[in-house]
Amino acid sequence: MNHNSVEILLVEDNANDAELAIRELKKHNMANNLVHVKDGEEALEFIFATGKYAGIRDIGFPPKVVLLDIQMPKVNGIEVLQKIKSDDRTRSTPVVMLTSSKEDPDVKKCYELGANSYIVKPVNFEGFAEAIKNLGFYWLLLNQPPT
Amino acid sequence: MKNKLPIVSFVAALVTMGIGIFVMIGWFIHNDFMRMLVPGQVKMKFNVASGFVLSSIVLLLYHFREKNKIWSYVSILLSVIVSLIGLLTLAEYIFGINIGIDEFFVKDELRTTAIYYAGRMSPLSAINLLLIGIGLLLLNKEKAAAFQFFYLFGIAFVSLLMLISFNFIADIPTYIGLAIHVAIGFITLSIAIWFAQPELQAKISFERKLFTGFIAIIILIVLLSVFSSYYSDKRISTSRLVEHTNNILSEAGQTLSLTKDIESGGRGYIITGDSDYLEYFTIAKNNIFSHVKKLKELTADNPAQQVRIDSLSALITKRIDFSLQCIQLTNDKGFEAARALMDTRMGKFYTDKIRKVTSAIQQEENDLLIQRQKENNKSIVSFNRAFFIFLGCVFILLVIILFSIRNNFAFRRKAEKQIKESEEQIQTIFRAAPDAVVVIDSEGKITKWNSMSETLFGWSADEVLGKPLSETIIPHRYREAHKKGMKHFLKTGEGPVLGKAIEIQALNKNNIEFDVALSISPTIVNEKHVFIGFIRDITERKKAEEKLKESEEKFQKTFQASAAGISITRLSNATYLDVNDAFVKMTGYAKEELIGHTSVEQGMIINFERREKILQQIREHGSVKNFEITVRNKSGKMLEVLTSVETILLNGEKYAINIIYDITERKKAERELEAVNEELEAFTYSVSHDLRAPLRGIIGFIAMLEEDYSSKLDDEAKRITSVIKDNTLRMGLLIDDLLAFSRMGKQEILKTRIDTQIMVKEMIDGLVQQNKELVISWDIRPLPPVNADINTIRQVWINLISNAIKYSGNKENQRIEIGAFNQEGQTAFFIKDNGVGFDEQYKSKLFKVFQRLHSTEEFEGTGVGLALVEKIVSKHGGKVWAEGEVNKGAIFYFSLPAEDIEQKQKSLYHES
Repeated sequence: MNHNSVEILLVEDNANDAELAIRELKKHNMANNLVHVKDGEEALEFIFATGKYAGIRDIGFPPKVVLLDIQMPKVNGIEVLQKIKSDDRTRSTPVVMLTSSKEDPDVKKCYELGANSYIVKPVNFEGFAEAIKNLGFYWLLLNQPPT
Repeated sequence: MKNKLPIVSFVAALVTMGIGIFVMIGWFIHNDFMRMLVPGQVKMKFNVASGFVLSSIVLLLYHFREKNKIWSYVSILLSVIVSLIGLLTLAEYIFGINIGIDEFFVKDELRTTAIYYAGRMSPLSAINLLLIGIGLLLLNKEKAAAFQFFYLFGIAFVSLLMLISFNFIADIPTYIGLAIHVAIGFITLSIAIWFAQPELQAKISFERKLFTGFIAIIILIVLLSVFSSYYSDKRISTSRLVEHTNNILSEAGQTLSLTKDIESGGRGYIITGDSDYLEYFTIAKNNIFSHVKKLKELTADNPAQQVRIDSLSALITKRIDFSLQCIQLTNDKGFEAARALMDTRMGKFYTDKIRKVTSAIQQEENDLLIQRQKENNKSIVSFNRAFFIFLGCVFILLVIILFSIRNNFAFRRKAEKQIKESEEQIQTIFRAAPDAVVVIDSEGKITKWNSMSETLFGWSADEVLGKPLSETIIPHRYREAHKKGMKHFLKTGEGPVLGKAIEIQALNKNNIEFDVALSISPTIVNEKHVFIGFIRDITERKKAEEKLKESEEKFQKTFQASAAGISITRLSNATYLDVNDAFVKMTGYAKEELIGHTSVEQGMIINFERREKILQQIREHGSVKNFEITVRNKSGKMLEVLTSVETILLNGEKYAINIIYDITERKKAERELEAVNEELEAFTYSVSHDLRAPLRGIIGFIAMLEEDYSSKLDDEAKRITSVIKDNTLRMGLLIDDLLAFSRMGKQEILKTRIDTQIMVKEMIDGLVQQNKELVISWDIRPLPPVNADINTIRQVWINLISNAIKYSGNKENQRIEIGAFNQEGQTAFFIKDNGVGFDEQYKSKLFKVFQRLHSTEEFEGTGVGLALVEKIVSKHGGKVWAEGEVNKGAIFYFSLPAEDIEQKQKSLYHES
């Protein structure tokens, strides 16, 4: 897999949620260039081409969108978001936050830090699927990233 | 010397002394000018001069009064000497003796005669010196004021009279006369003594001065009369003198003519022998001596004339004898013999001599007449002058008296007017006084009763005037004491209640006692004691005092009994003025350790910044409300206290009343609660996140199962997966509601104006849109706007309306009513449905979380909706309640505080 042509970076520690998300994106042919990392630390290594991604990735080729779970062990989503948005090289990368509840106080914080959107991971699977589908379309097909 | 008068006295005394010394020197050097001043006048005697000098010394000593006793003894001694000089000289005059004081110091060149006493002063001077000596002993004695005035005035007046008289009236006996400088000296001495005692002038009443003036005038007039009568006698005696002289002249003339008759009668008879001639001769001879005799009588006072008349008489006798000889010769020897005798010319010789003597007598008389006329005229002329001067004096005195009477009258009129005005003023004060003013006489009877008294006691002046005070306004129990007190005062002049304000009770006309402040001033009017009482109603003041006392007591009790620690501190230096028991208990310091000390001194303050903040707030706002601060108590324990401070003014000084609550325990509990809350928060968070994740997994994978393996699942398997899915979804809902409910506790309320009407309308429209199959008849009444948090209140409406729809869903003609009304100042809303309702006995469970009155099979729900409603409304300060009946429907109410006025105005402004 060419790590420089990744379209979606999914950062999700919950394997079930990740599987469901990937399955849904696949359904709509959007998971072709998808990388799934399981924690914030790896996400940062991927984005900033460090650690195990050092040398195999170029920071100049960011993913088209990052789906970022908030609740994660080690480095949580908010910290990842903060790092992305505070670095000039990565700031323009769209980040969509994944949250368990829309009443989560972290949602507000995410917007303040520059998150581009958020998705509530509903218990209802149909709703979740719909959200992922819409999101994928929007960010991959409609939204033009800044050049 | 405080003013001019003593200076006048001082100068006059010096002048007097100068005169005295001048004359004394005159005596020592025998200079008559110095002793007399005017030649021919009387001399000023040495004793008078020494009297002048001694008196002047006494006066000068008096002016330079030393607090030295010796000088006062010297003054007394000198004064006694002066009066002794006068007294002894007088004694000499009265008893006609000479005790040798007149020439004690110097000898007089003139010797004592019938009308002159060598060296002895005039009796007038003696009297003057006696009086002056006594006057000097009594200098400035108040009781001697009249004496001083009279004798000094008398001396000055008499001396002045003498001064005038001696220059004009020659007929005053020399020995009572005064030399010019004696008169002047007495005048200056009188002035010196009088002006040395300016205090006495005020003591001499106007009447006395007037009286003195009149006496002076009377004396002047008496003197004038005496002199007038004396000089009119003198005029009469002048005309008598002329007559007397004329008599003498005529007698002399007749004597001469009879002498001629004798001569010619004798000659005729001798020549003619005619006896007729003889007859002439004989008549003349017989008459002539009676004339001579008369002449002698008339000139009895003039020895020279007597001698002349005696020689005249002898000559006449000789002439008669000669004629008789001739007649005898004629008769005896005939004419020729007689002729021979006649030829001797003896007859002519005698006649010529007689003629000469007669003319000498006549001449003498004429001369005398002229001389006496001259003398009389001279004294009459000088008297006339004195007369006019005296008259002038009388006139001047009269003018002075007239003017002073006029001035005095004007002064009196002015004084009377002033008295009248001041009387009117007193009357006005009396009438208008804000206090009751009551005057009683020495018998205790009311003599004055002002209008305030009428108001205060209810008695009119007519009713009480003349009545004893003790029968009107004095309460019965004080009446005896009042009478005794008055008697005691009249006897001794003492009264314990007089002259100061006392508080006592008085009685009004209706026999009701009330508190008054009374002050009594005794005074004397028309030589009788009266008592003026000022009385003020102090009922109100007493009440106010009582109230104040009560309020103070209240404060004291509150202060002491308060569970809160209270301290009063002086703001200027932060020292404690007082602390209550709770404060002592809280801080652990004894009262004595705090009062007069500061909290800083005792080491109670550990956070000075915070203390400074409190002080600053006190300075800026005068008070502090519920400020938290940590202090250290005596045992070193940290106390968290809630302090509120108010400042008050006590006697012009600012004090702070500090009320503290020990909130150490509460703070601890709060902190614990906070920790618990945080834990709960974390728990809720994990519930929302971590519980949902497996749910999502369950549902997601069941969905995958259904999608990917539906062909392989039989109907029962599909039912089972469906049940799993439903339950999982329900659990998701439960978690969401629970989360929302717990969040609500933390949510902040942000009040804005909500147009309830519009909000509810939009909400229902939305609901109807979503569920097109709903057939509900809505009855929405006017709904007033409220001031509330729009997000949460929207939740309330959604929950309640949803409930109404849900629980009436099984009814045909479903009906929901929404309205509002006012309740206890709050806006109450209600949502009424005609659904299943509820059993009133479970009402208490309605708003409790997870409490449901229906099963999930009957109605969907988690049991959180109404609990959330209750929480939101109560957070707004409102109330929720419900009424219902099974199968008849339910009414849910909630109330919110009515939109306040300020908010209303704001909203009106926005709307316009």
